[in-house]
Amino acid sequence: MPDHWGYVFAAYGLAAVVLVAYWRRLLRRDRELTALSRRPPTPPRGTTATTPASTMNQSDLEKRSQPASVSGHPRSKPPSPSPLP
Amino acid sequence: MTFARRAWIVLWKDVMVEARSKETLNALVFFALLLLFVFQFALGPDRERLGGVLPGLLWLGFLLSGLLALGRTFLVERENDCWEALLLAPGDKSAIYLGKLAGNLVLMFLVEAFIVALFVVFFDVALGAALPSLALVIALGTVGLAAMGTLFSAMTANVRARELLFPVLLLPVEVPVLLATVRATEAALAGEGLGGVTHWLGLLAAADVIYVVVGVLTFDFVLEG
Amino acid sequence: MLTRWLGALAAVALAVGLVMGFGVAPREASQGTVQRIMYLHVPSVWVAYLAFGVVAVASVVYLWTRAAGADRVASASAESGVIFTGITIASGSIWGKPTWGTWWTWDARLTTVAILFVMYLGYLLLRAMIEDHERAARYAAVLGIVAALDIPLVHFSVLWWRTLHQPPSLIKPGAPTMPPEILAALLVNFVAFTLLYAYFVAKRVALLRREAEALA
Repeated sequence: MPDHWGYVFAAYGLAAVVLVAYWRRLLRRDRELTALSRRPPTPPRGTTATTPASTMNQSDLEKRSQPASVSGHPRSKPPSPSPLP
Repeated sequence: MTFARRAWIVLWKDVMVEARSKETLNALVFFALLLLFVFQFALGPDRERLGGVLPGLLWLGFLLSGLLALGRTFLVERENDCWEALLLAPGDKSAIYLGKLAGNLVLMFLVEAFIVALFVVFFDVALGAALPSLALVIALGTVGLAAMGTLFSAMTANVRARELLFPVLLLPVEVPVLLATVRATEAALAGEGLGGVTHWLGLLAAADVIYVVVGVLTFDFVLEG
Repeated sequence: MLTRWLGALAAVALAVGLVMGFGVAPREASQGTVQRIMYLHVPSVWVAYLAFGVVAVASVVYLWTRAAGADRVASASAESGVIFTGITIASGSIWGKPTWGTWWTWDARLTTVAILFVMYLGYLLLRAMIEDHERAARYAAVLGIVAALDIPLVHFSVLWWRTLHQPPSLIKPGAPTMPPEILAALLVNFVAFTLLYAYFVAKRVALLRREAEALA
């Protein structure tokens, strides 16, 4: 059986891409939450703005990101500075 | 009021509602007829080829009709603002589950009988001696379908995209039932009797027990306020 | 922080695993180099099953205690489980092409894993589609338990489907006699993948908790 290095690299490469992408999404979420917690105290609830989910929507793992931000977890506050009254 | 009585009341209510309007049954019967046409058109006129796939087609018909029928289990409550009434019902909510399950079984059996009749007519199936075996397989398989179908129907009742989510949740769970029933139906229709497929029947029975027990045990959690 | 150490440990273990899989383990005679995909594929499926076992246990714990932590563990574990199941299927498919000549075969194990994949995608979809957090947690827990109980049924039904009435039409690669190097490489990768899974879950649970707190 001849060597099929292409297939081997394809398999490992694909796995690496997926795992690294998920890991980076976790890190990004971490950074957002940390930035959030350093903000001045909570903006008023009525704030309407895009949720952090928007930054994740670019990823093709969007469906898996849904549980992170949309699924019934209370909507997280936006990363942008809160509009003050 | 006993558990059994409450389940019976749910069943009776649903049967009464359906008996008056016959809305669901008529639509399902019509759907089954259309399915048969679609099967025939999709697979071509070659009778020989059809013969081999008939058991699969039969259960495909049951499954597709089942998705429609089971998905509507709580439609009456939802559309008539009675969902809260379910949530507030006293006692063990599993009685509601069993009542709804029984209602679904009645509905499914009626539709399935119709589909079998259509198959006999359109595909020239020789039923005869195979009928008791076939009936047993259909009974076991339908319980398996309806048990989880009723549970998932409650879970998706108030979800935005329930028509999408319900089949997505139900179909993977029903794979064992589908595999078992088609194999057993093959044996029954071939006239071999069910002796050779007892392992499949065992799997079906096990699935039925597990599904119904899980339904009974978890329905309280689904219908919590 | 503990999670960071876990991550570092996982990274080291993965590196060692790679070395073992490519450097230490010998080239297997019958399948050639492609066999090395096994060091990715088999640990992946192990982690996938582990993840879904955790989902099931966490689901039961949640329904019993209503502890938000249990719900978070279930959610995080399901995410990782779906990822590792996807990797299992993809690597299995890529392994299959040169070995069996086809990208997909209704082999008993691949089929079971594929059904597992769809079930848990449905689980994530359910969580995503229910806005009320408490209801989503409850329903997901019920689904997690149903799915876990169904896995043995799926396993046996698919196995019998493939073996009892039709002999496998493709010759499956025989179970390799396991030289110790191959076994060692497998075990190291098992450990590495499990550590990676643990790291992912720990990190995800922490993120979920912080998200919940951010709104308190």
